[in-house]
Amino acid sequence: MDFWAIIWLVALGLGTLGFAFIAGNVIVKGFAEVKSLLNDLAKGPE
Amino acid sequence: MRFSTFDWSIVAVYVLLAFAIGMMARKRITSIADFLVAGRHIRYNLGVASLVATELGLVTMMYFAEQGYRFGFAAFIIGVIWAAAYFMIGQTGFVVERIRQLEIITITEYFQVRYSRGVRVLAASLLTIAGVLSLGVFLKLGAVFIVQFTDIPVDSLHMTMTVLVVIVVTYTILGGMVSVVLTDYLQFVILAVGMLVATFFVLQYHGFTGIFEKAGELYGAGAMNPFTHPEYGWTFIGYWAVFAISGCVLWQPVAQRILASEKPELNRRIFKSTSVMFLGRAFFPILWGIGAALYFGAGGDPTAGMPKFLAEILPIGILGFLAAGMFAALMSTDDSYLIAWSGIIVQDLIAPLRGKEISGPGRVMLTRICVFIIGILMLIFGIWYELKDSAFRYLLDVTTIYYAGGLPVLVAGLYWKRASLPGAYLAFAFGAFLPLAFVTEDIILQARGITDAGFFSELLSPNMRGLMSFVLGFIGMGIGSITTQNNPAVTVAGFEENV
Repeated sequence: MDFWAIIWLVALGLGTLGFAFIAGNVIVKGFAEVKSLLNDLAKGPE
Repeated sequence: MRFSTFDWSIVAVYVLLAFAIGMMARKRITSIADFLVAGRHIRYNLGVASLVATELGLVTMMYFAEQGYRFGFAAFIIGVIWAAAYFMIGQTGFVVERIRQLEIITITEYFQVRYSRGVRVLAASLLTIAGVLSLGVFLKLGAVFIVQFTDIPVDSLHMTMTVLVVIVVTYTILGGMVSVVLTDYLQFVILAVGMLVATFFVLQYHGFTGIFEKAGELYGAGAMNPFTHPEYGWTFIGYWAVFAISGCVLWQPVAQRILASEKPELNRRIFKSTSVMFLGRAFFPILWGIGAALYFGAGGDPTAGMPKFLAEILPIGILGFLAAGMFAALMSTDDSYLIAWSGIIVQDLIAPLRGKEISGPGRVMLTRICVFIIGILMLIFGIWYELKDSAFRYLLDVTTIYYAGGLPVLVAGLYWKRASLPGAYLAFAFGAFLPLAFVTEDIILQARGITDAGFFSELLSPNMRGLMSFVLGFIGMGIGSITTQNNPAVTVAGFEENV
């Protein structure tokens, strides 16, 4: 396999893992922040 | 026809859910800061979700897939540089930390206090031109995807564009930035999962290593090297690097999220995490485009290839889920952009030029009117304008109109004490000249029905034209500032006093 093919193959693998890891975290923890944002806005400016 | 009623029902449920959230958010909006920067209540995870969802539009996937289809794996360099720019900004806090401390709503607002009202209005005008010109293409590519993916007849393209504008404009007018951020989260969830699933099916179809071997045969093994590739090369890499940094700090939809974060230091974390997400943002659609080229052959349609290919290989149910994800991508970008440009027009053009104070509700109303007008403009331009080169190239040119002058003006304003008013004007004038001349000439030629290349398109290669625009912008700032009396640098404290 071509040198650049190996570079891009590794980059794709690592990029996919990083994407999945951060996306998972953001999805799980972001939900609580959505609720918190709505509460903050309901209270109005402090 | 592979797109089933079940797939359509998944899309319908998503659209109704997004509207319900928009309506719910509307009740929470009390001020222009709520409408434009969600009251500055955005925390880390929501910040990442919102930034990624905004910059991960359907148009992004379409133009990346087009690059993948046409040029193969060398196009991966676009994602690598973009991710590196975000990581660098996250690591150093370059620009984003200082700008968030100023408690402003738009970047152009900073230009008024650091330089003058005239610079603010000039910057806002260039930004609006860049934004509105790009939105027309967003709409068209979005409609091309939906038509190809769902088997809607191709001659319904304009009708599809009209329906899309109605949906996006209505929903943006209803909710403003609060609903945009909330639906960004929902869209992030659907998009992130949908992209990973689609990539799995593409790799399963061609094989994980097989796709690289087949691409080597189709494009030629040497075509994977971005440094020697005729489409990219060193000039592109230099141009794209400064363009990417500009995109992080100047592009209003991104800047709006920087300015909406709860604390200034949060932006660094958001940018670092987003950099990894942005590798996938480029890699996945480029891979789908390459998969489409291998499926249809190099002679196929690079723009329509990716949606047609995915519609062929994805199973029923997944098709509907991905269509909802792509529709989400379209909405999350188009609504953010509509609100960003409307915010610019009201905050940076109408308010400074009017001189008289506009009330909070008055500004929200004006912003909503602007969303409506821009929606109409993007529909008319999107239907009329035909792309001559790739969508990616077109978007680079129109955005450089603002970036090439905006980057030196912003960076010098924040970090160089001698940056002055004449320098700012010269930077914008020098930086905008080449791309503005090229785009204007292109539009005039099309209006006259002339298909030949114009003077400015033959003057320099697209990469050199872009790179030179940034060089000229920095030269303008340097010459203007060094040869004239300099302004005092404006600190955060000084900014507050001026305001």
